[in-house]
Amino acid sequence: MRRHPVPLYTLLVSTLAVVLVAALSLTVSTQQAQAATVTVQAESYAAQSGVVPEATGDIGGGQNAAFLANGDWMRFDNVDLGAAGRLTVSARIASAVGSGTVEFRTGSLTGPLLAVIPVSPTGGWQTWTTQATDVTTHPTGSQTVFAVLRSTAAGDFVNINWFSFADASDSPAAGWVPIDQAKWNAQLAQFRAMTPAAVPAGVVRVPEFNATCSYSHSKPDDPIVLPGLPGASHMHSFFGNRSTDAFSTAQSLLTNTPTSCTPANDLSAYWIPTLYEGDKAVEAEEMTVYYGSRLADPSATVPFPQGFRMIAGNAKTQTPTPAGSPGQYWCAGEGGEIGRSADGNWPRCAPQAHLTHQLVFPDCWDGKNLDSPDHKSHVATAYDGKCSGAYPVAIPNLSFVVSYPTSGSTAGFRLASGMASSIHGDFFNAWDNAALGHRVKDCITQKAKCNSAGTF
Amino acid sequence: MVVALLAVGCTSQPTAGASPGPAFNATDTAWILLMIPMAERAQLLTDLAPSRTADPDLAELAAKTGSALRGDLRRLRAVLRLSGVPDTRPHEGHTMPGMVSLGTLEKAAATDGQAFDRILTDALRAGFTQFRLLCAEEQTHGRADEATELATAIARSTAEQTTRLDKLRAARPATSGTPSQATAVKGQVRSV
Repeated sequence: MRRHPVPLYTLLVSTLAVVLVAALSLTVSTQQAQAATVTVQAESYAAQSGVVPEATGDIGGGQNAAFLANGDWMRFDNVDLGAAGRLTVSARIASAVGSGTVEFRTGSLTGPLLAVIPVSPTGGWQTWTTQATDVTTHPTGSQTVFAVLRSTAAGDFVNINWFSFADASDSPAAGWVPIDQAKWNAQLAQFRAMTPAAVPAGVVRVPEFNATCSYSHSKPDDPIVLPGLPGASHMHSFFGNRSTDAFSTAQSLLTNTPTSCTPANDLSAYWIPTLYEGDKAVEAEEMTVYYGSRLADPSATVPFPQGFRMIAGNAKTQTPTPAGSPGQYWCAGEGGEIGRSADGNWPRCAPQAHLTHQLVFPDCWDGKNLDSPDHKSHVATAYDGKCSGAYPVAIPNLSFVVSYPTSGSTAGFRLASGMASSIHGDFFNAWDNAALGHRVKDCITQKAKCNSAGTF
Repeated sequence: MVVALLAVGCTSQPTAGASPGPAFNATDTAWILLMIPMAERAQLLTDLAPSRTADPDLAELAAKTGSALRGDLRRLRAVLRLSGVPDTRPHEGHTMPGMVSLGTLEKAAATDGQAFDRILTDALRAGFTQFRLLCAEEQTHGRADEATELATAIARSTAEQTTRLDKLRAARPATSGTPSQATAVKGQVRSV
């Protein structure tokens, strides 16, 4: 179903490109003596699993690593990561279908996380794009670097041509929102000083609490992606803070206290693209925001810093979601799923069952930034049960469980962002520090199931 | 190809030792990152006009609009580089209000004559309306002069294009919008 042979003319193009690139590097190196960039060709691995090299159609020619699926990996020896300080990690990727991440780890396959590059379709297996992320903490000098492929779906999801590791300027790059260290230290100190409540016998030992929120309002606004630009976004359905709009900030959320959530001291803003059945918006009957942990040891989990924000899912992903696709909508309730929509992308539910979705957020944080240019690069998902490397801080594992008062039909649905695969969610933290801190301490670090009041 | 490579090679290097750039705020960069793909899609549509429309006035409007969009794109990309924000292309492939959808592009490519004219004029009208809204907000809430001045310039040229489009549409009532297109102009998203 995939793979197009690389046309012959690319060989000619590649030869020319190689000469040009060589000439360029010379020019650049004289101008940028201090900004060292190490480029690693993907096919130059010292060891690998599941990787097949193929001729590449990318600029520069040569080969790319292909047929990469979940769990595949490549090892690169003696990669010079340079001195301490900000490091820009880039990957040259192409993807026709599927999504996932490229994890970089140092030392071993399960070593500390160096960086994570998100992957989503680029338009084809030879349609190349460069994805980059910045990390502020990393091992220095010569390192063994592993590139590990992660995806929740089966099947090949990405080709990789090269990686690069570049010393970046030490000043925070544009688009990153560094944490106010004094405020964070105070929030952490308050949290560390809290005495955990005694867990009664009989409580289910699952690290979890929740906020239970009703639908609040809709606006074509997005204060994370499109701040200051009301009307610029596709339609969003907002939950939690009732004031959320294109101008919301951490401060505005904290001062506008009405919320659609229980407890009332969760002033956070939560939002998802609006769901449409035909031309009619269908608003959720309820969103339960779970704060849990999937880590082997949840005891190191800390609360979200005030003003923290992040996005899960990808609004740009427009791919079919047939029965059995990961992360898809399902039918909750008696009778469950009784069939699919005509396009196969949505479930049809029994009359008593309701359309439902769970969106899971990353659970490890870089500990330095409240936000990043793509609103994702300051967080990462722990696939091996621990937070490490550039994402060392365990944060609660957030997930949105949304149910709709509809059973669906053969006509299916659409999201304001497009197909079912484009489901995404945004979180802008504005909990009362003490209320969030006590819940993380009592429920998550003690592995005890709590209700929305934060009690057992 | 030579030119493209050299351009990419030079501009993608970090600007070590450069003086601090102007103060771009989050609205500035969000506006730039949204305007680029919107202008790109609109340009893909106007590029289809010469081979598909039989109306010389509309062909001329499409050519003028296409040329304006190319100029806007050059300046938007220059301001993005100045801001230092990485081009994460957050809205590529996105369904956004006023953005020419991939479905619309496919339909436009598969048709010609009056049917094409209708798709083109409706999409341009929706796009122009959203451009003017976004530029007005950037002028109010943006911070960097380089970005707010560009918003002023784009708003002005978009207003001119809108006037030209209005004149054409007044002369050819057959291409007037349907209620659902009117809704799309107001900012609701339709996946076509």
